[in-house]
Amino acid sequence: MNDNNYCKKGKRLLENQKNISKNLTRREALSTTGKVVVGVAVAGVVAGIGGYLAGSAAGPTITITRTVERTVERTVTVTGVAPQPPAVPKFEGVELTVATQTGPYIAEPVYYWRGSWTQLTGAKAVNVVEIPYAELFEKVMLDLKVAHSYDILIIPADWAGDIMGGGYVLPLDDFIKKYGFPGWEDIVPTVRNKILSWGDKVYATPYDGDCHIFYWRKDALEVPEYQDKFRDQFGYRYNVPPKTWEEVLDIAEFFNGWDWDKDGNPDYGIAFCFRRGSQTPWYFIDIAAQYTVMPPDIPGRVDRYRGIFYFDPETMEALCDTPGWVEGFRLFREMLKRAPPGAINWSSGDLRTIFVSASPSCAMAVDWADIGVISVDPTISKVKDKLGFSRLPGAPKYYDRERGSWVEQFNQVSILNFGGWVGVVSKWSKNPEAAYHFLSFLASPERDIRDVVEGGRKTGRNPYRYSHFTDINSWVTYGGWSRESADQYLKAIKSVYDDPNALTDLRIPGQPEYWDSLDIAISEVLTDLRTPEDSAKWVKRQWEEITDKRGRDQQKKLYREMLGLPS
Amino acid sequence: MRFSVRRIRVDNHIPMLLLAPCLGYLFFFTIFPAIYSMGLSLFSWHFITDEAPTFVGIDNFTRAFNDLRFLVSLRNTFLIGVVATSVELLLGLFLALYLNKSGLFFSIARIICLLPMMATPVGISWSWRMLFNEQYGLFNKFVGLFTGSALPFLSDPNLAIFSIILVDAWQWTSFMFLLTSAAIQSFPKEPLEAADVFGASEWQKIRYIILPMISPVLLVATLLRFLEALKIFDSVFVLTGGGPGYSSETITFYTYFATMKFWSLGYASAIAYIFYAITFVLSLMVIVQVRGRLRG
Repeated sequence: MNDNNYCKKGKRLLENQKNISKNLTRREALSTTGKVVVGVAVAGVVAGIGGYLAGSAAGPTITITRTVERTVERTVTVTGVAPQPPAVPKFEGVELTVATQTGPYIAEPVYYWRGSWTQLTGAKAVNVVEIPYAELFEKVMLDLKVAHSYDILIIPADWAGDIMGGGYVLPLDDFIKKYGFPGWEDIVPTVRNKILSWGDKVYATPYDGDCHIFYWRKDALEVPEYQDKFRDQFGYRYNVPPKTWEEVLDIAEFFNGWDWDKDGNPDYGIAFCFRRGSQTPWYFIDIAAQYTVMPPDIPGRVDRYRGIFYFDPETMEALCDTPGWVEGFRLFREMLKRAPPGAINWSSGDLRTIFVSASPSCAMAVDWADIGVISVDPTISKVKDKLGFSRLPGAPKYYDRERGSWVEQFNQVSILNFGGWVGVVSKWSKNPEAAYHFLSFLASPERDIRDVVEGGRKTGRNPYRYSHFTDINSWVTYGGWSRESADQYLKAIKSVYDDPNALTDLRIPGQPEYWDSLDIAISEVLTDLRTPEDSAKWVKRQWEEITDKRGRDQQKKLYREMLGLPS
Repeated sequence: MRFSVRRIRVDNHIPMLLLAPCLGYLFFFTIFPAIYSMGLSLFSWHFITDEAPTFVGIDNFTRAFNDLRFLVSLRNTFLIGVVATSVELLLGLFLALYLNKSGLFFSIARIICLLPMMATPVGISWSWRMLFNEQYGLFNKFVGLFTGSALPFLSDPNLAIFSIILVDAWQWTSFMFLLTSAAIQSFPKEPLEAADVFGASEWQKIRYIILPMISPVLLVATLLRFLEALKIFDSVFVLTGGGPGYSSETITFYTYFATMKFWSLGYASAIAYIFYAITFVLSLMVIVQVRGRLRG
């Protein structure tokens, strides 16, 4: 039903472009003369952005009509954006090739919108090359190094070190000046400044916002009877949502191994992604960062000790063996003991499916925003409107590296895990302007809202604009959410983006190699091959070797750039 | 006279011309890459950086022998090669002997035995991954009847490698069965008839007639299968992803990581050549054995 609504909505947009006179007539019939005058006046003020948002380059008449319509809707969110009035670009005969992961996730929107764009700009075609995620990095790098056949790459943001730092993609600042960018100020600053930029230049357009949030089953954690039982057993009443990972551990222990949802099957405490070669390091960092990252004195400002997780930015010494990391390893292993049997083999995809289909039921989970969107999909979900959403739990203490001791103080770190997917233009592209224009077309607010509310089901795009968080109606109407759930879900994600101290991924060259070592270390802790302490030491040695191999000074320079510190 | 000389020259070139595409293919896609990667193994080169390759001599080779991950993967590779091939040989031989009879049942059974070989290893591995599932896996349910609880086939460092062997054996026993069956059915029946006349038991016929007669085929089949098993990748990738830790990584899996994930082309070439050298020596030993037996 929602798909149909979208189809209708998409068709309406296209029809708007084709049947302008019909729309005008209808609008004129419905509006008073005064409204039209106001609308046109507003359009005059922000005609540029409006016209661009409308993506109406097919002809002057179309541009004006669409400008009026969209400008009125978006005035609030894009006020203050004053890009140059965009030229109406024509890319007659241009053919673009987009490389991204195998669909539907992430690839689907490119298919969905490419027809509109070619129609709009006169471009010949947009070809899509789908590559399985496991091979995406090597295929992309081989193309950038050797084949040079892709114009656009839609890739994970955490490859920035290799791709942006490696100089394989074009800075977009000039294109943004020339063509503007739809709703630039509407993109949350954390994404704009930390994800799309490298050094002092913008290299990417937003495509998907990503961060981990915490999920819980309301029919478990919010049942007074269970809360009382828990208090009797553990001696305190837990918070909803849990405040710290220690509390999560206790709650998971409490709900583990008995039928709390009364479906006749045993249920479990918590669901995580634990499988090696999946995306486990991101889940581990959710815990370890809370004990490691010292809160900055001034929000958003990192220094040698504050806001730091991976390396000491002065020496490039890996921090993997610090007590905060060791605590992270220990707690992550404890989580596994409170998860269903076989959870050690769960990838993030397994986690989502299992948690949402309640087979078996788990009281809590951590994941990207996808679980939320899948939870309202009636074809798979058994937990619609049964989920609570919040930012990640924190820690009751953190390790102060400067003083070399623990600080018994609540610490909560937001993490932009993975950082989402971004669009970049290959420096070898023969049509970089068209490539940029297509990417900005995909990222325009009127298009990405459709993709974002469909995120977990087919597009793989999650919120990254203020308007995504405020447009609750779209989530309710097209996403199938209840207003209350949508509100809580969006607040949880927004709280991460609003955190100026949010931690990003490691975005320096060699990231896959650093990540692989961490992945192995986690796996060894989970299977008791090594103790948390030994694993922490082992992964530190690996990281030091990788850093030395790649050149410590160069890595340090790029790491400092990543942190926004002077290099 | 002049005419005939010219003709001879043309005739001499014809074989070369006909072979040229084949030789060209061989040179560009086999010989040149082999020589190039041998040279590469003496360099340190991170492909995705702009730095030029640096000559490091045999450093990559010495590094490999100090790299625990490489040594573990080497051990795993040969463990899988030896155990899986042995199991496949024994089971394949047993099936070939047992099903070497006429009748509808045996014909259908022979066809069924060949089916696993025809499926893709990735598909097979995915199926087995589900069968091994600790909560819902059918195989694990079955095992649970005897052990009392599900076993962590893919997540226990000790069991993971044997789970890979199990899947490999399940799929490739059919290969040994196919070759062994063909050998049994193709050798002359007179010796068996003579044995029947002299009152030999079934075991005596197998031990003293069938096995000696098919041993050359068995040796070749074993060699082929062993070399293939050493190259195992798909099953490891799907079943365990090399984990837990790196406890079930094999050489091909590690080489893939060194090449396509870490982009250390020099080091990856070095470990590929070490593996090649070991395999070459082992194969040579087996071939010498086969020749000796054939002559004997």
